[in-house]
Amino acid sequence: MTTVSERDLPIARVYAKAMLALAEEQVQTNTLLAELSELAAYVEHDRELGDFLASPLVDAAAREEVLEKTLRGRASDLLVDALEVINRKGRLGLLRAIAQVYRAEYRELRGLVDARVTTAVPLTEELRGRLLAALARFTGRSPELSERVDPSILGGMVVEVEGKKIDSSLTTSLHDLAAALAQRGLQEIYRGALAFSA
Amino acid sequence: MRFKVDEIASVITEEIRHYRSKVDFSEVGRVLEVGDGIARVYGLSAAMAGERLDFENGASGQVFNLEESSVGVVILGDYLGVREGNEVRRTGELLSIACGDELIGRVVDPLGRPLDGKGSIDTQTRRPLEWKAPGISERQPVNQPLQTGIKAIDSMIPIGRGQRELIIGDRKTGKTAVALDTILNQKDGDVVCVYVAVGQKESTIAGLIDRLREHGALDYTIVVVASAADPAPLQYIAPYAGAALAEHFMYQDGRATLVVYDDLSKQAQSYRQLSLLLRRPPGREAYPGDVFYLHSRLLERSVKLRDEYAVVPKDTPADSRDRSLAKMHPRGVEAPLDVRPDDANGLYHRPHGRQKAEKWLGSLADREFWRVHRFPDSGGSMTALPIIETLEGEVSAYIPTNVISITDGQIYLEPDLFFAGVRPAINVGISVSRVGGNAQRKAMKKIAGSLRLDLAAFRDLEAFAQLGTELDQATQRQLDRGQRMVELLKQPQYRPYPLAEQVVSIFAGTDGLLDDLAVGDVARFEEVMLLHFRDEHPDVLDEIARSGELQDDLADRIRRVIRDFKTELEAPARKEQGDTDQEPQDQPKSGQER
Repeated sequence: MTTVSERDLPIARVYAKAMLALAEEQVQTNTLLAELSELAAYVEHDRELGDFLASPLVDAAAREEVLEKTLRGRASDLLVDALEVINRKGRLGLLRAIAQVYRAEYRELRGLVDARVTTAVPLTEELRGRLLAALARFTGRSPELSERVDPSILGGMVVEVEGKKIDSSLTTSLHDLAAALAQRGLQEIYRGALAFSA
Repeated sequence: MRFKVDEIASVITEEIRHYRSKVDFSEVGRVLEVGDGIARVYGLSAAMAGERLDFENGASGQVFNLEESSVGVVILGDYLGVREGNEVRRTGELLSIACGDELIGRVVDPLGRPLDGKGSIDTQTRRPLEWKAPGISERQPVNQPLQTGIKAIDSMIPIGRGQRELIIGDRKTGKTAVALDTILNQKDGDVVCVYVAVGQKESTIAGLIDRLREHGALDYTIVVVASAADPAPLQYIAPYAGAALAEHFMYQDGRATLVVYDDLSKQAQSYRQLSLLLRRPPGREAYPGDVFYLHSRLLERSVKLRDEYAVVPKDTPADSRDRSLAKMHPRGVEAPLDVRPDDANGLYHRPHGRQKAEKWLGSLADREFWRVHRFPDSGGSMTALPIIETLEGEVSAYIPTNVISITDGQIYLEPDLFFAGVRPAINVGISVSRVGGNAQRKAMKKIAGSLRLDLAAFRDLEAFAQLGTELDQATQRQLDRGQRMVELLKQPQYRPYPLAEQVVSIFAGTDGLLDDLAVGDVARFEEVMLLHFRDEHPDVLDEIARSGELQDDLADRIRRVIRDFKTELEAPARKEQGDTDQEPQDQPKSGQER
């Protein structure tokens, strides 16, 4: 995924917040999230569509007509209306940034938080429940797990949440132990205390 | 040889038994994009500006830009091994460097890693690279000389401890040579030297280190290297690393230090590179807006720290650093106003602090139980010799003007002089030292007081005399004197002069004792004259070195010795050569006769 420019975020935030407030009123936050994500993914995939939306060379009225024809009825009215307003302001180029901020704002509002879990074997239902509870306690929000199985960590688990990484995997422990032993060995060699017999 | 496997195994078993595996908890972000030594890292929302980060491949980074959902990081080290999606860990620490006596004689990179193959450096102490410069009350005016051993500088542009004296000039004018000679001249002295090489060729640096080693200067010198091959971030932090190394000796041991930044124009260029890559707005000559602060915060760290005295109990050890002892005397803060301590902690640290402390001690009834103590970690200094390279003598470019305005004077080296054989090629007209005069030894001040202005006047006159006009006698004399002084101030590289010899030499010139010599003979005469002094009259040199003064009777004696020596020298020469060789040399200047 190509990243959204940092500079676009402040402007995108204005539109995203307004859309979220309206969606909340009409109880459509989830629909809008899905639609926006889909649209953003489509724009990223199709460069020509992106150019059509972003280019100042395209007349705003013409663009509105196209939006009206292609989306009205197929997507929620809220999305189409919002897109037309954004179009009138000439900001459709920020569509991906708006989608990204909308998602972040939505999750903030719902108190959701992403958590990545890596384990050597698939999580059992019971373990998943305990992990979710622990993470909820740790973050104070409701965590959404994305699970990954990686046999190379041998055992234990690695959890990444809110930019923090809690690594209790066996591989890491073994690496640390190896480093500690090597360090200790170096010390011993320096002291000349390791017993060598001639 | 056979070693006991059992024994090793048991040691390892014991080690593992006591090994407590901790859960590895860290704050991590991921590399969004990387290139040209710059990475943008997503996450790390708690990272601080200037914090050190660790990359997955072992490289360190420093946080430069804090943005909404990412941070801009400069990578110190191998940035080719950093990939998109790599993990980046916070360390919660600022950049720092190991420092201490172990570093002396070593060659290190700006993060303190050894480059000289002499093994790892184990020190107890580390210092952050960036350190706030001491404030007004912690300083004292520059009052002690830092002898460079270069006649032209010590006489006309004297440098004091704690001063910042810029060495500026085009490429190949001997800037590094001046700095290097200054380091060599600290041999057998109390000054710790740090040489910071920024953006130079590795071959040049290797040669320079060899010179230092040959002359025994590595015994008191640390070399910090960020060569042209190193990434820009390392070149940018190198001067701060050098300053931190010197600060350790200054703050911990109260020692005098000398730091050479060679050169700051390259550092400014690497900082420009970083800033542009981080998309900071460019200003004049595409340098970022804070390029002045880049150099001012570095050079402000140069300081002459105050000397701290206090009246302490008599049994205090001489090396005590415990400032609370200063408050022991119950009547300290109530002492009469003219001898009262300079702060509420009972310390005397303004000028004449020792005299004041002693005066007060003398007036005490219980004085036999107390004594005046000088805290040994006070009074250190850091002298800076930043070097700036100009293009075609353009001192009004951005970086040169900035650094000129920050420093306490500049030594300006000129290619024209250099190629005319005047080496060191110092243009005395526009070289100045704004504070060093106070630090100059009395002897030197006495004989060289007007030398700089006289020489500058001579340069003007010389240009005028080229026109071939008739000159009156006074002008001719001034010209003759000037030519001989210029000869006298020439000095080969790696030959620093001790103070006493400089004084004798320059005294001979300014007193007119060389006026009757041919210009071409001055250098040779000076050499044998100093040899004569060393062999026959070492007491004269010792007296000057000891007192730093030149009393009238001593001056008379030097005058007499030189006159006698001259007649001694001329007598056999006359006999051997007849007067044939002497003839053309006696004429002042053949060009002017026309």
